[in-house]
Amino acid sequence: MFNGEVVEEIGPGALHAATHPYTRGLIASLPRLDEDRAELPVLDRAALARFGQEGRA
Amino acid sequence: MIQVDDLTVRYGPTTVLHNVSFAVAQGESFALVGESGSGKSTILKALAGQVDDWSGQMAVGGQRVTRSSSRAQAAQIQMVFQDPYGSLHPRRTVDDALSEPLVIHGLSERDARVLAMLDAVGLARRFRFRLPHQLSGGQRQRVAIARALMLSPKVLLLDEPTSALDVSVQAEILNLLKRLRAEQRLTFLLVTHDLPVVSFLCDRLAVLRAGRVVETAGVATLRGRALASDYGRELLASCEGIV
Ligand SMILES: Nc1ncnc2c1ncn2[C@@H]1O[C@H](COP(=O)(O)OP(=O)(O)O)[C@@H](O)[C@H]1O
Ligand SMILES: [Mg+2]
Repeated sequence: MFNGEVVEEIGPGALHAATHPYTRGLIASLPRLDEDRAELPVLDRAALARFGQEGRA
Repeated sequence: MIQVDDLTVRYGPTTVLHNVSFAVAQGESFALVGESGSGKSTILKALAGQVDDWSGQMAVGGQRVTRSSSRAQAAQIQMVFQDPYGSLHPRRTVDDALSEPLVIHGLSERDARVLAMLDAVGLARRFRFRLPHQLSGGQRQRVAIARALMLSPKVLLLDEPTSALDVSVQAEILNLLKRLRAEQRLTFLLVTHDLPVVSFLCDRLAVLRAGRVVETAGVATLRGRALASDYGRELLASCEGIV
C-alpha cells in the first residue's frame, strides 16, 4: 500500500521479484541477518511521489 | 558497564528469571532475544529498580543496584519502550516531556537543552509544542528517545523500540539509535525478537528461554547462523525465508 492504494500484490515468497519502487524500498530498508551495515536505506518519499504521478500520467 | 549475576526474579509464587548472568562492557550494545514471556522485559525492569522480589547482584556503571537506588543513579540508566504512548503523557507537549527530567534534577538552560536534543534526534523544532497524538509513530519514538537522553545517561535500556513501527520508519529509528550510540558513547541493552535487528545494532546477544540464558554469542556467530543452542538454532530457522 502506498498513498492509500494497493500498488503491488505478491506472495511472501516472491518479495525478491517485487517491481514497484515502494515495495523495493521497503524491502531494502529491512535489516539483514548476515550483513554488517553502517546505515539502513530509508524510503525517499519525494521520489516515490514523483513515480506515482508518472505512473498514472 | 552492566553486570548481572545470578539474577532470580519472582512474581508471587512464580519464578520468572532463574540465575541469569551476563555482562555488558562500556559502549557495547547487547541484545536479549527470546520468545514472548521468556523474561526479557523483566531483566530491564530489574535493572531499572522496578522489580520488588529479586535476588542476585546487579551493577550499572560500577554502582550496585539496590532496593532503594538514588535519583543520581536512576539518571544513569534510562528506558525506551515499544509503545512511546506508554512513556509520554497524552496532554503534555514534546517540550513538557523533554523539560520535565531537567526540572526534576534542577538543571538550568532548559530551552537550549531542549532545542539541542530535538536537533540530535532529528525532530524539527516546529514539533516542540505538539502533543503526542499530533505526531506519527516514528516521531513519538524520537521524542521518547530524546526524553531518555535528556539527563545524559550512560546506559539505554531499549524494550522492542521499533517493533510497533513499519519497516521504513523502523530503519530511520535504528539508524538514529546507531548514530546516537556512537556520538554519546552509550551502552545499549536491547530487547527484541528480531535477529536481523540484533545483527544491525548489537555486538553480542544472550538467548533467553523460559527465564534462563541458554546461550551468549557474538554477532559474528549470529551472522554466520552458527548459534550453538537448540533454541538459538530454532530462532535462526524461524527467520529463514524472510528476504
Ligand atoms: N507484573 C507481573 N506480574 C506477574 N507476572 C508477570 C508480570 N510481568 C511479567 N510477568 C510474567 O513474567 C514472565 C516474563 O515476562 P516478560 O519479562 O514480560 O517476558 P518478555 O519480555 O520476554 O516477553 C511471563 O510469564 C509474564 O507473564
Ligand atoms: Mg517484553
